[in-house]
Amino acid sequence: MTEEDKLLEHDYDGIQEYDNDLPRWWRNIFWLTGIFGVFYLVWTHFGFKEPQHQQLAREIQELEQHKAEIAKSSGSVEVTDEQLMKLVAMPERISKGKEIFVAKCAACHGINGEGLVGPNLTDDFWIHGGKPTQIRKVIMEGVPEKGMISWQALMTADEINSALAYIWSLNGTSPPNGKAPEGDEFKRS
Amino acid sequence: MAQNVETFSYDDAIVRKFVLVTLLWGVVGMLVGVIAAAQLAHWPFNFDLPWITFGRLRPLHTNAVIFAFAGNTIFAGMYYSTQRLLKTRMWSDTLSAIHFWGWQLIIVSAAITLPLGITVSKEYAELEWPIDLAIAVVWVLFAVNFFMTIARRRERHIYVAIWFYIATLLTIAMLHVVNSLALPVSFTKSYSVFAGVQDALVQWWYGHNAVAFFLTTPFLGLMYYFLPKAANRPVYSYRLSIIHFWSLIFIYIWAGPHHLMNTSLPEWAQTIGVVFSITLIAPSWGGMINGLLTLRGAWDKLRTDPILKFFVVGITFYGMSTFEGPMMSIKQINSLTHYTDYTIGHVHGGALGWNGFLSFGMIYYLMPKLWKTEMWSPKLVMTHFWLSTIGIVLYIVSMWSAGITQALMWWAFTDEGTLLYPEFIETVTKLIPFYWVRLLGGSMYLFGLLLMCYNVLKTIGVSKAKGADLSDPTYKAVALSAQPDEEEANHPSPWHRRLEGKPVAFSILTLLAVIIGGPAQYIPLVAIKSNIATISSVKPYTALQLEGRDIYIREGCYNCHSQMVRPFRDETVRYGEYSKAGEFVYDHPFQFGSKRTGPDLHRVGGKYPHFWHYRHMAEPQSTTPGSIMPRYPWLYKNNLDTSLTSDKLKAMRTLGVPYTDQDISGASDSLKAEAQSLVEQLQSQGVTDTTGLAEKEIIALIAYLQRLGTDIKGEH
Repeated sequence: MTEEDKLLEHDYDGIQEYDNDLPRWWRNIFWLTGIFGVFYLVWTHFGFKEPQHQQLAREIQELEQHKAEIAKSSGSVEVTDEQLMKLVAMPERISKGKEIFVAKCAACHGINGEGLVGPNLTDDFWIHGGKPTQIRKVIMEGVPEKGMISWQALMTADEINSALAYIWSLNGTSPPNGKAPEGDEFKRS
Repeated sequence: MAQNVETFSYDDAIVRKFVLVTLLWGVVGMLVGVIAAAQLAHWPFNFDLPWITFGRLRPLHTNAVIFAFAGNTIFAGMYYSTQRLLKTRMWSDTLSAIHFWGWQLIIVSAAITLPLGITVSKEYAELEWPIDLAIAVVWVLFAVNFFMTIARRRERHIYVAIWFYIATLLTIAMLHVVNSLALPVSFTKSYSVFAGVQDALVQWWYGHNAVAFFLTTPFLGLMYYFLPKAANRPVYSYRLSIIHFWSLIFIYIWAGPHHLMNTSLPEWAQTIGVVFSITLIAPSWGGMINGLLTLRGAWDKLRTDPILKFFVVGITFYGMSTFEGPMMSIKQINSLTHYTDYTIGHVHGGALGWNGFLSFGMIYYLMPKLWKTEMWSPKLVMTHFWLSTIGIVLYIVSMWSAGITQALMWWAFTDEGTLLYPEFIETVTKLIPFYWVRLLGGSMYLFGLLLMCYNVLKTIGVSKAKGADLSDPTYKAVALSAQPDEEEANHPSPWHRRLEGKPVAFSILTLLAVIIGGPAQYIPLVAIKSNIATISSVKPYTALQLEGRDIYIREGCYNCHSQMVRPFRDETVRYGEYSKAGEFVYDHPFQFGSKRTGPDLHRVGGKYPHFWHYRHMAEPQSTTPGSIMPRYPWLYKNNLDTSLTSDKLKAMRTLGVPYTDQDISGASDSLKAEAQSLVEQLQSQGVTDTTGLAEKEIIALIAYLQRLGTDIKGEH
C-alpha cells in the first residue's frame, strides 16, 4: 500500500474502493493498440498490403511455374511408352509403388487391385486405355466425372511412376473377389 | 430518524439451490466433455450409437458447461451479491423460483433434444425454437426481478458489480433473440431467417458476445464482489472500473467477425474484427489489473487461502486468454490457428481457468456462509486446486501443440511443389497422442470437481448434523427515501457518480453502448450488393438434397467439418477453388463450421463416386485408413422422413429461396425420382443389395454431399 492510495468514502456491503488513477502502462497499452488498429486498417485497405485474392493468384502462378521448371529440367515432360516400359520393370520401383498403392489407391481399387469403388486393375480391360502412358495420364489427371482423383498435385512425378510400376505388375494376378471387367481389352505385346 | 430504519432479510435459500445445481451440471457437462475427448483419441468410443456420436455430444458439452455450469454459477453469485450490494431482498421470491426451475427445465430439455439430433446447428445456440422461446421468457422474468430489486434498493449508488450484471442481462437478451430468429417448420425443426455469410455474421456476433456477456461480464461482476470480500481489501481503482467497464462493453460487441477470418466474409468486415479485437486488450486487462492489484498487501494470504488461490489463478488465466484471443484475431495469425485444436486450447484456458476457477473460489467462499459451517476438508480443497491447475496446463499445452502441428502440416509443400501431406488423414493421426494427453488433463479437472462435490456434500452433512440455523438472517438499513443526498460534486468522477445513482439512465446508456456494433456491420453487408456478388449458376437445393442437408445438420457434421475453402495456396491445391460469398445465398442456416477435425467439405461434391460415400459413411476406416470418424449405421436402416419435405420447401420460399409452386407440389415425386436414379448409379458402381435403399437416409445425405460446392462449375 502506497501513500497516495486514498480510500473513497462509500462502501458496499463492506467493500471499499481506492481513488487510484489508471496505471500509466495500462493507458499506454490502450493507446498502442488503438494505433495498431489504425495502422492495420491503413496497411490492409490503402494499397500497402497485396490484396488477399491477388496474393493467392500470384502464389498459384509461382507454384505452377516452379513445377513446370522442374518438369523441364528433369526432361520428363514427354514420356514415351518405351521409357515407361523400362521403368515399370524395376523391382525397387514396384516395391515402393506398393506402399503408395496401399496408402492411396487401395481404398477405391481394393487392397490387391481387385476393384471396389474403382475398376479392377488386374485384368486385361482398361476404360481409358492400357498403355503405360495412358494409365499414367489417368493417375495424373484423374477422371473427375467418375470420381478418380487427379494425383499430380498430391504426388511427385517419381511417386506416380512408382505407383504405375506396381499397377503394371498387378496384371494377371487374379485376386479373389475381382470386379467384373470394364472397358476395352488391351493385350500387352 | 429511527422510524425510517427498515428491517429486511436476504433470500439465501435460492443461492443454495443455484450452488448445488452448478455442481451437478458442472459434473454432467465436463463428463460429456471427457467422453467427447475420449472419442477423438479412440473413435470406437462412439459405440455406433446415434445419441452419443461426437457430432451430437459436442454441442451438449458446450451448452452444458456454458449455460448450465457457468450459468448457474452466475445466478448463484448474482442473487447472493446483488441483495447485499443493494441492501434489499430480491423483489419477488416467486420470480426467483420461476427463474431457478425454468432454467433447470431448459437444461433438461437441452440434454434430451441435443442427443436426439434436434438442433439448429448454430454454435452455442443449437437449441430449437420452443426452447429458445422458453429461454427468452425465463430470462425476461429474471431481468424483471433484478431490475425491480434495483428499484427497491437501500443503497443510493450501484456498485461496479451491478454495472456488469446490468450489461449481462440486457445484452444476452438482445443477442439471444436476434440470433434465434427462425421460421419453424414443425415443433422440432426450424430454419434460420438469415442465410450464408449474413447468417454467419449474425451467429458470430452472438457467439463471440456470448463469450463476452455470459462468460466475461457476469464473472467480472462476481470478481468485483467476491474477491475484495475474500481478501478483505479495497478495490484497487474506482476510476479504472469506470473506464474498463464502458470500453469493454462497447468494444467487445464489434469483434465478432474475428471468428470468420479469411472466409467469404467481406474483407472490410474482417478488418473491423481485427481492429476491435486488438483494442480489446486494454479493457480486458483493466479487469485483470483491478483484480490482481486489489490483492496488494494481501499476497501473504495467498499461501494459505485456497479461495484466493483459485481467484488469482482464474484472473491470471483471464488475462492470458484475453491477450491470446486478440492475437489469434490478427488475420495472419488466424490463418495458422483457425480450424485447428489451437482454438480448442484457447477456449479451455478461458473456460477451465477463468470461469471454472472463479466458480470454484466463489463456491468455497459461499459454503460456510450459506451452510453455517466450515468446509469439511480444507485439505481436499487444496488437492482440488492442484489437480485442476495441472489438468488445465496439460489440456492447453497439448491442444496448442496439436493445433500448431496440424496447421504446419497443412501448409507444407515439397520441393517439387506438391503438398507434403496431401492426405488430410496424415495430419489427423499425427494428433492422436496429443488427444490422449488432453483426455488426461480434462479427466484430472473433472476428478478435481468430483472431490469438490464430495467435500460440499460432507460439509452440508455436518451442517445438518449440528442443526445449523439456515433461516434468512435479518438486517437493518435506512430507506433510500430517508437517506441524505451525497455531495456528488466532490466525488472524483462526479458525473459518473450521479449516473450510478440513476440505474434507469445507466441501463439505457449500457444498451446504447452494446446495440450499435451489430447493425453497423450487418446493415452494410446486406445493403451493399457487391459484398455478396451474385453467382447466376448457384441454384436452390433439390428436395432430396435439402433433406440430406437436414441430416447433415442433425448429425452435427459441422462440428468436425468446415464448408469454407480459404483463399490460401495450400487450401486451393488440397480442396479446390476457394469459397465465394455468393455460393451460400440459399444456406439457411450456414454450415461454415469452426473446426476441422476432418477435411473441409465445401468442394467434396463430385470428388468421389457415390459408392465411395456409401462405403465411407458405413465404415470410414474402409475408405480412409486411420480415420477417426464415427460410423453411421443408422443412416442405412432409417427411412427418410419425407412428411415435411414440401413444408420445408415452402418455409425456404418464405425466407427468399426461389422455389416454384411446381417445386413445392412436386417435391415428393422429384425426391423419389432423384433417389431412384442415385441408387441406380450406386448399383452400377458395385452396390449389390439395393432393396429399399432409395428410401434410406443415406441416399439423401449422399445427394447433398455430391451437390456441395459444385454450382460454381456452371460459371466457367
